[in-house]
Amino acid sequence: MMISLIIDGKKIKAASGTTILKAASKADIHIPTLCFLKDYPHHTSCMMCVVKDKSTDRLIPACTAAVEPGMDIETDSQEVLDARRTTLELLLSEHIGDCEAPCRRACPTHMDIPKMLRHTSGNDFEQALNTVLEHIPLPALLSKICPAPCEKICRRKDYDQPVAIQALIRMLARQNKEKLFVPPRTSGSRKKIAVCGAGPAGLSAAFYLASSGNSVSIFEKNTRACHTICREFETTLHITQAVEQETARLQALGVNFHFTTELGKDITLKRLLKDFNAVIIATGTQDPKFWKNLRLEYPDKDAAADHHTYETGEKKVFVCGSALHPLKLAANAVKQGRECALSVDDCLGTGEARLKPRQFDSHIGRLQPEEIKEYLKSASMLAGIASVQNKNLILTPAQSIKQAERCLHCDCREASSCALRTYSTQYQVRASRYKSPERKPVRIINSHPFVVYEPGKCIKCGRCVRITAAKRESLGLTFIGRGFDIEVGVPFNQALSKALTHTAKECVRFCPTGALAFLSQEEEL
Amino acid sequence: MTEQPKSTEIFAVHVDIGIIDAIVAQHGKDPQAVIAILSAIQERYNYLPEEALNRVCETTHITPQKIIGVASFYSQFRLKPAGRHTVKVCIGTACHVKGAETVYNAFRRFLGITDGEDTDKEKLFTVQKVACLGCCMLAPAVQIDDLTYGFLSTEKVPAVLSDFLKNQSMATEAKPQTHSESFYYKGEIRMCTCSSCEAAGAGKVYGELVQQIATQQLPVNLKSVACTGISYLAPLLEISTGPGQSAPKVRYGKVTPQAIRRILNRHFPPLRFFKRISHSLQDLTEKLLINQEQDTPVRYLIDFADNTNSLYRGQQKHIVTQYCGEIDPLDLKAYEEHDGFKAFARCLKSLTRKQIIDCVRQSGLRGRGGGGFATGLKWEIAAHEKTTPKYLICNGDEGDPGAFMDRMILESFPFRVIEGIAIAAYALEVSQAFIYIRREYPLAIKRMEQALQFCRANGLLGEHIVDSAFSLQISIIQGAGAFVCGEETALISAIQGERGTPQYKPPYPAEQGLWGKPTVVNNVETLATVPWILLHGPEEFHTLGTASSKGTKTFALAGKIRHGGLIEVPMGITLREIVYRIGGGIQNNNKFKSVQIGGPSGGCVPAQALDISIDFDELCQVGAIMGSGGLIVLDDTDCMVDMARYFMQFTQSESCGKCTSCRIGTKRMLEILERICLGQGTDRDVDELEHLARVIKKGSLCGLGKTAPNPVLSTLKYFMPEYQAHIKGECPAKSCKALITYSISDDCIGCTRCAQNCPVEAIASTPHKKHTINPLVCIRCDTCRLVCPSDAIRIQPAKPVVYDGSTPLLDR
Repeated sequence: MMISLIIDGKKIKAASGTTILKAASKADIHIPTLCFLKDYPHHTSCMMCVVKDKSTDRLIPACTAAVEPGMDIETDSQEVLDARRTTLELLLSEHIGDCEAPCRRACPTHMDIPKMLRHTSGNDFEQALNTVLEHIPLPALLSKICPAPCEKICRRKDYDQPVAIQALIRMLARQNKEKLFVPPRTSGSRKKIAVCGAGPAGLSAAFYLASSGNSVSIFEKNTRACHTICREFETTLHITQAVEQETARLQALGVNFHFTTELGKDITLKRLLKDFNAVIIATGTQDPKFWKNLRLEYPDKDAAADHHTYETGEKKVFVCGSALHPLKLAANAVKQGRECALSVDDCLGTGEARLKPRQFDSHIGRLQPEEIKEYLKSASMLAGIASVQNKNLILTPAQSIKQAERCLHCDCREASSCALRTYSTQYQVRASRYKSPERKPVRIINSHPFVVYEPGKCIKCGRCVRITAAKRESLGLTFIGRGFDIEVGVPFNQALSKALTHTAKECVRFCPTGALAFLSQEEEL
Repeated sequence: MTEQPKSTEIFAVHVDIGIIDAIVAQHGKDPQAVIAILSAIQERYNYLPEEALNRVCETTHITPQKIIGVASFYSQFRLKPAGRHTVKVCIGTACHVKGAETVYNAFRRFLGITDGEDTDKEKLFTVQKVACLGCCMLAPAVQIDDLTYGFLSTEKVPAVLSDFLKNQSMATEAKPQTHSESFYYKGEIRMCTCSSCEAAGAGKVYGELVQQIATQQLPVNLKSVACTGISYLAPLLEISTGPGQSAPKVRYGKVTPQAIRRILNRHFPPLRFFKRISHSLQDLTEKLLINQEQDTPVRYLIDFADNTNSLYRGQQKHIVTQYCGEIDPLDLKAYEEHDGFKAFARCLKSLTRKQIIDCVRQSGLRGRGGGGFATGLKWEIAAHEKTTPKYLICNGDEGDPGAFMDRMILESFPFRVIEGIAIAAYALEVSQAFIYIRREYPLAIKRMEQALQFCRANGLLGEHIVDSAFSLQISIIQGAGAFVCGEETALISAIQGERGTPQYKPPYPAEQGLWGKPTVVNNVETLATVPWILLHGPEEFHTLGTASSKGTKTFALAGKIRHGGLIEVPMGITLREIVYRIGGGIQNNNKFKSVQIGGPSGGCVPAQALDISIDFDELCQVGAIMGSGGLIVLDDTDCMVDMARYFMQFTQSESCGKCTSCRIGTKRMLEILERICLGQGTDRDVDELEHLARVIKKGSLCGLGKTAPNPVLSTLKYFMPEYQAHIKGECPAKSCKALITYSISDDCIGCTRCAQNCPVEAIASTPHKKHTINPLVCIRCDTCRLVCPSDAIRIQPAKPVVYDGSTPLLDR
C-alpha cells in the first residue's frame, strides 16, 4: 500500500512500512544519523535523526518511525536543528578526546605534526615532508628559527621530554637537499600573480599559488630573500644556506624572483595591476606614508585588509604578513601567506574569497599522570633529546625514526572521518555548553593486534554491539551497565582481540567516532 | 573494560557447577530464561560469580554478550560479592523528606564503609539505596534482609543493627493456629500483616498474639486481613468482642508486642481468678523490665485505642479495596462469599467477548498506571488484531518513589487481581497471561503465588475453566530492579529476557508486543477495577468521577501529613479534601506548601491550586500528572529546589541509557540542580534547565524520559522565588545543607545529649554549661536537634560553603 505524506513541503509517496529516513532520502532530503546502520536492527538511541511531524507536533526519530498517512514532516526547521544541536552538545559534554593534538593546535601554521611523525616513524620521509609542506613551505628555515610552541605543549613532556618535532622537520628538510622535493603542481588557473616582498609571508603565498598552477613573480627590494631574518639570526644560526634552499625550491616550482625591486619606488602598484591578475603585498612592517603613496586605504589603526580573506578595498590587491599587522613569529607570517594564497585562488576562480568554517575541535583539557600512561601504551619508551635548545642538532634518519616513535598519538585516529565531528562543525555547536566539572579518565584499550578502543569517545550508538551479535562473534561487544554510566565493553573483561575476531574491520569502519579505530590509521586507510 | 571484579577476590565464593546446572535445568536453555537464571544464581550466592555466568553461557543458548548486558542492567544483580546481609535504605520521596540520606550516611559511617565501597570490612553488611520500599508512612524506613524497620534516625542506627543481629535467628514467621470450629470463638482479632504494617512491627505483634492466645487458651479467632490502608496507625488491631461483622469493634493503633497481653486481657479476661492475679504480677515485672531497657527503634509504647469507626475512611469509595479490613487476603472462600469471581462466572456464562469489551469501554475506565489510556479502546485494538496467540500482562512493576498502591492491592486483594486478569483474558482470547511484579515486593509475590495456587486447585485457572472452552494460565514474572520496566515496551523487553530498554511506538504492544504478538499491558489497579465494573455495570462506574475521569483512584498518601496510608477516592474529589479532610492536615502544625503528585513523572501542586479536582486532564493543566498515584504532602520545611533535585536524581539513576537526551540530559540537569542546591547556581543555569527540560521531553522515546523534566518544570513554574533565593545563596526552607548552619541557643540546659549523639563529634560540651557546635565539622545531620530536650538547636542560613569534598553535603 502506498502512503502519501509531506516532507519539507514536498508531496511524497512511499510504501507502507518505509521509514521516514528512507522516504526522505529517495526525495534527496538528507537527514543526519549516528546510530542508524543499514541492514541491521534499529537501536533508535542517538536522536540525531529527529524530524518534526507537524500533524502531531512531535519530534520523532526518522530512522525508525514509519511513514503514516497525513504526516507533515519538517527535517530542518529551527526546532529540529536546535534539538539536534543540543543532542550533539550533550554527546560532546561527555566526549573524552582531542580531535587534534595539542602540538598541532599550538603550531601557528596548523601543520599536521602527528601525521608527519607517523610517516617519519614509518620510514616514509617523502610523505612526511609532504605533510610538512602542506602547511610549512619553508621547513629548512622555520626548523631553525621557530621557538617551537609545539614542543612546549607536547603531552610527552609531562612524562619525560617532548618529541623532538623541530629536529625532525630539520632532518626532513635536509634529507631531500640534493634531490629537492617539490610537491606536484596542480593544473590550476594559470593566472599571473605578483608577490611583493620575499619574507616568510611572501614566500609562503608564492609557494602555494605556484603549486596550484599559477605563474608567480616575487618583487623584493633586497638582494636576497628573508633579508631581515638572515640579518637577525645569521651570526648564531648560519641560516643563509636554509634560505637559499627554500629559494631554490620555489624556483623549481617556477617562481620568478626580481630582487632589488621595491614596490612604490622601482615599480608601482598600478603597473603591477596592469601586468598581473592579482597582487599580494607582503613587504613587512610599513609606515602610513607607504600606504598613502600606494593610494591604498589604511582604514583602522592596524588593518589594511580583511583578517580572514586578506582582501583590501582595492580589487585584486591583498595584504598579508607583518604588512598587515606586525608579527612576532615567522610561522604566523607563513600561515598568513598560505591563507592569502588560498584566498587569491578563490577570488580568481569564483571571484569571491570564501571564509572557510573552522573545523570543530574537541578538547580534553589537562591530563592526569595516569592518563598520560594510557597514551604511553603504544609509544616508544626511548628518552627524548633537546631539539629546541640546539637548533644546529641534526638527527640521522635512524635516530629520527626512533624519535618519531615516541609520539603519543594523542590526536584522534578518525579526525577526518568522524561523523560526530562533521556534524558538530555543521551545526556549530558549543562543546563546553554542558561540560561537567567531573570527567571520566582517559582509557585506551589496545588489547587487539590492530584495533584501539577508546571508551571515552564512544557515543553508545550500539553499532558494534549489533554487528558483533549479528555476525556471531563468540564474545563480541555488549552494553554494560545502565543509564549515564552505560559503556560498551567486552563481556567478562576479556581482551579486545577475543571480542573482535572476524568483525574487527567492519566495526571500525562503521564506528561513527574515533572510539574504535585502527592502531595505525595511515596504513589501514 | 568496566571494572568487573575478578572472582578471585578473597571473599568470593566457591561455585558449585552442579547447582548452576540444576538452575539451568529448572529454567530452560532459551535466551528468555536469562533473568530467571540470573535471579536464581544471585539468590544462591548473593552476587553473580563469573564462573557461574561462564557455565550458563556454555550450557545454554545465552551468549556472553547477552548475559553481561542483562546482568549489568538490572539493579538487583551484582557482579561484585556482597556482604552477608543487605541493608536497603529506602530513598523514596516520603523517606527523602524525612531524612533518608542522613540515615543512609549514618549506616555507612557506623559500619565504617569507605568511599567507593558498599560493604563493610567484615563483609557482614552491604548498604544500598532502594528506590522505594512502599512503607511511606513509616519513613524513613530500611529493610535488612527480610526485616523492615521504620521511623529511623541517625542515633537509632546502632540499635537497629544490633536488634537485627539479635532477632535474626528468631525471625521465623509465626504460624497462626488453625481452628476448625468457628463457633467456639468469643471474638475475633483482625490484623493486617502486609509489608507496610510489617515494617511498623506487625510481625512481632502477630507472633506475640499467636503465643498469648495459645498460652492463655483464649477463645479468640486471630485473622490476617486485607490492609485497611491506615498506615499511620500501623500495626493496627481490630478487635470484635462477639462473633460476626456486626459485633462491637475496638481498634488499637501503633500496637507493640509488650502491649498485647494488656489488650487481650482487657477484652478477653482469663477465666479463673488466681490466673488473672498471676498475669497482673507478670505484667508488673515486665513493665519494670521494659522501662529499664533502651527504647528499641520499632517498639513504640503508645497504647492507642480508638473506637470511632471513621479514622479517615469516611469519604472514601472502596471499589478496588472493597472489603478491606474484613476478609483474609488469601481466603478464597471468603472472597467468593463476598461476590468474588461472580463477575468472571457471568462473563463465561452469559456475556460475549464483545459485550465485555463494550462494558469496559462504556464505563470510561482509563489506565491507572500513569498514562491514562482508555482501557476499553486498548482491548478493542488488540481484539481486532488477527495474529494469535495474544498475551496479557498485568503490570505490577510499580517503582515510583512514594507509591505503593499496587503493592497493597497485590498483597491484600490478590483474588481481585486474578479475577480481573481472567475477565480480560477471556475477552481478549488470551490463554497465557503474566503478572510482572517487582522483586522488592516479596510478600506480594508470595501471596500472589499462593492465590494462584488456590485458584488452580479450585478450577478457576487452568484448562477448561468451570467446564467452559476457556483455558488460562497465569505466570508470575519477577522484575529484577529497573524502574523503566514499568513502561510497557521495556516491560516486554524484560519478559523476553533482554535489557529493559523501551522501543519506539508505533507499533503499539496491542498490535505487536510480546514475541511480536498482540499484547495488552494493563496496570494492577486497572485490572482489579474490572470485576467491579462487570458486576455493577458500566453505568454505576460511569456515575462516579468527572467528565473525562471515571470511577475511583487509589492514592498512597504520605509525607508531612497527619493521617497517611492507602486511600481510595472517587475521581473529582479535590486535593484540598484529600489533604485536609482525609489526611487530617499537616503534621506538627507546620504550614502546607505543596502536594507532589505522580512521583518522578509528576509535579508539585502549590497551595493556590489545591482546589483542583482529581482528574487526568485537570492535573495535567497544573503541570502534574495522575501518575500511578503517589501523593506526597510537603510543608514549609521542604525545599522545592531540593525536591526537583531529588526527583531528577531518581530518574537520572533509572534512565535506561538509550536516548541521548535522557541519558546525558538528565545527568546534566541533575548537575545544574546540585549546583543550585549548593548555592553555586547562576541565572543562566535556570535557563539551561528549561532548555534541557524541553529537549528531553521531546527527544526521548519513552514515558520516563518524556516526563522526567516535569518535577523541574512544575517547581520552576510555581516556586521560582526559591530558585532565585538559592542563586543568592539562601535556602528559604532551611533544608539545603550547604546553605545552613546549626548552632545552640541560650535555651541549652547543658545535658550533653547532643554531643553524645553527634556522629562526627562536632559539639563541644561541658555538663551544665551551654554547648557549642563547630560548623566546620558539623555535617548538618539534624541529630542534635532531634535529641535536644529543650529545643535549643537553631538552624540558620549560612554563606554557601565551598565544597571541599570532605563532608557529604550532597549525597548521590
